[in-house]
Amino acid sequence: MTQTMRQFKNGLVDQNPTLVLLLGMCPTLAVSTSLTNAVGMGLAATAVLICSNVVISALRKLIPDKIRIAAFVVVIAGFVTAVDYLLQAFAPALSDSLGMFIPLIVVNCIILARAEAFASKNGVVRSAIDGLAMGMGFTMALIFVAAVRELLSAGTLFEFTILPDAFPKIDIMGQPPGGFIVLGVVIAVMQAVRNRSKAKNAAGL
Amino acid sequence: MNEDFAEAAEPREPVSGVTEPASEPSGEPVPDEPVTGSGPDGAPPKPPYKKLPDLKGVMMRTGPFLNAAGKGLRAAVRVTAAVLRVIWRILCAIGRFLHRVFRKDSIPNLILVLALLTAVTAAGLGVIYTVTGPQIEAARAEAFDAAMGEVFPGLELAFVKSSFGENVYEGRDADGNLAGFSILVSPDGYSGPIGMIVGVDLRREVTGVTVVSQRETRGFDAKGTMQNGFLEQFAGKNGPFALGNGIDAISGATISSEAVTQGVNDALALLDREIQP
Amino acid sequence: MTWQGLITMSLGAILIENFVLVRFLGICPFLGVSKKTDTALGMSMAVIFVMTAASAATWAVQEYILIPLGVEYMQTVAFILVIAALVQLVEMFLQKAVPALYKSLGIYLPLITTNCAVLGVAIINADNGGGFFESVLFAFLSGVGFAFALLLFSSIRQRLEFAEYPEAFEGFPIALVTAGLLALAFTGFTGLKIF
Repeated sequence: MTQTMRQFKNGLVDQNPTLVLLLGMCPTLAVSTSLTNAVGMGLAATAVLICSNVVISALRKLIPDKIRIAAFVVVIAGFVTAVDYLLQAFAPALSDSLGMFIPLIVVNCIILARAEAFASKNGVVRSAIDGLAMGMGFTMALIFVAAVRELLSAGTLFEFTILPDAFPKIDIMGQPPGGFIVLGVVIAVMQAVRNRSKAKNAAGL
Repeated sequence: MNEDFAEAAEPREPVSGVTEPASEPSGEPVPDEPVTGSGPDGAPPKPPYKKLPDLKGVMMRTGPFLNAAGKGLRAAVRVTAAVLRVIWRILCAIGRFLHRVFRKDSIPNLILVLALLTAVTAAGLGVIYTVTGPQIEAARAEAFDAAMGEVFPGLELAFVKSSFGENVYEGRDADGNLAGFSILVSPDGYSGPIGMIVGVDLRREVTGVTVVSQRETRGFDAKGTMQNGFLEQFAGKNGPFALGNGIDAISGATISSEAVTQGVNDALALLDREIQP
Repeated sequence: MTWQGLITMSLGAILIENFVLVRFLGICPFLGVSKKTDTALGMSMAVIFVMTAASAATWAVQEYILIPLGVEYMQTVAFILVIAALVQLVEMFLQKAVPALYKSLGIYLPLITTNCAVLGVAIINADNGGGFFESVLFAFLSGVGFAFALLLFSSIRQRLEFAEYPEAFEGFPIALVTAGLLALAFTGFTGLKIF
């Protein structure tokens, strides 16, 4: 497996930022009421992640250790604001539904954690790939949770009606309690899968 | 003729007056002396040939200038070189000083890096802000007109604040004629205020009602649309409205239905108050 | 501000629109520090303080720097820098004054910088455009709401240790489901009106 493939497997499965590392849960819970919001947020966060990883990796030798976090945060905040304004200009509906959680991407632990753990210690290309992989992992987690919530609360996916009208619409799934519960279940499923594969590996040895 | 030819065949002696000193070989071939027809008698033949440029004379005259200029130039170069060397030394000293002050972990360097980063970020964001600014304004205006115009189905209106208070907007069609009013109201619902827009035409009839924000737990589906076509019941009517009197509440959502009905009444009352004081 | 307004704002910030259970702000520390009640208490105090101080500082920055200079687009950058500096100061203070608390909070103290609740309350205040006193009061009350939810949750979680649940739910999943049930309880507060 090439290093790039390994990085992708890492970001999507082994170290999925939301489902395994348990980072970035605030936006996951808040925007997973509909799939369009989830995908929009996922893409926005991925864009910021890639850009900030690239810049921080390029500047990594110049940033003094003491102001590391502050410097990272300035770079990330800059890209978040840029994405915010671009969304406001070219996708205003998405910008409205995501609301406050777009500027809150700056405190999405995933981005700061990857800057600290990877971008500040690796080259530009590797960091860009890491940003893409982790961003895709985050988006995937968002999609899982949002699909379940939208399906159960409105019977639709991407606003296309999927379930027959007779299917009861569980309103609570679209509200905060449902968000917590669905996310908990999704992470539990992920953990079960990983436990099983770990047990298989251990038994196989 | 034969005589001339014979003379011409004899080796000639150099004519005085045009002496070529042996030590200065000229680069130019000496033009042949044309036969003039006059022999050794009489004055030496006048030279109708081309005159040589007086190179020697030129060089004799300009030589001193050139020497002086050369010396001056060399002096100038030496001085310039010396000055440049001094400047270079000063720059190196400054560089060393800065390098010592702005060591990687020193306080001035911390401040410098952070300030530079913030400045570059500010510049970049300023550019993006200026570039996307007009587009954002246009998108907002479009969304505003669309939202306000939802209560006037089938018409394309532009909305401006009216002189009747900050919650009443005038809707004008493409020719600038007033078509109606969009009124913003927020009655208190079950779980908080319900943001509504009520459209009223010039006959004081309700053209439409939409809900833009609510946190109700019943009466609205997951997309925020009020159920059972509740809002359509107001269109074309004059008011005042009351549940049970031509307006059917949504079953199980009485409080929300009551709130919305009250909102429509509030809007009409607001319009009445402002237009006919 | 009338005392009725005060009570309405308090109810809103603490119960009806609880920062954690309704607005989804501050989940990371909510889940991370709630295993033991005394750590939860210390974290709550720290967060209340940072939220209040940060909203005061960011209000000043918004009012006296960003708006006059017309650089509102620097809001996110400016706010997060202010918060980072504030957390650094709190860290240094705690390290000297209450080292035991500093140690028990561990990594979660600097993580208050990335706490959505702190930046969130600053942004909400900036959007509402209220006065200084209003903004700071709202931030304080929201912090109290965060603390309330955190303490409730930690006391439930301490009992979770003796409960039986599927192995796959070990750790965060069962905590999330429990938080969901707590949020469910809080939906009972919607529509609460006294005045």
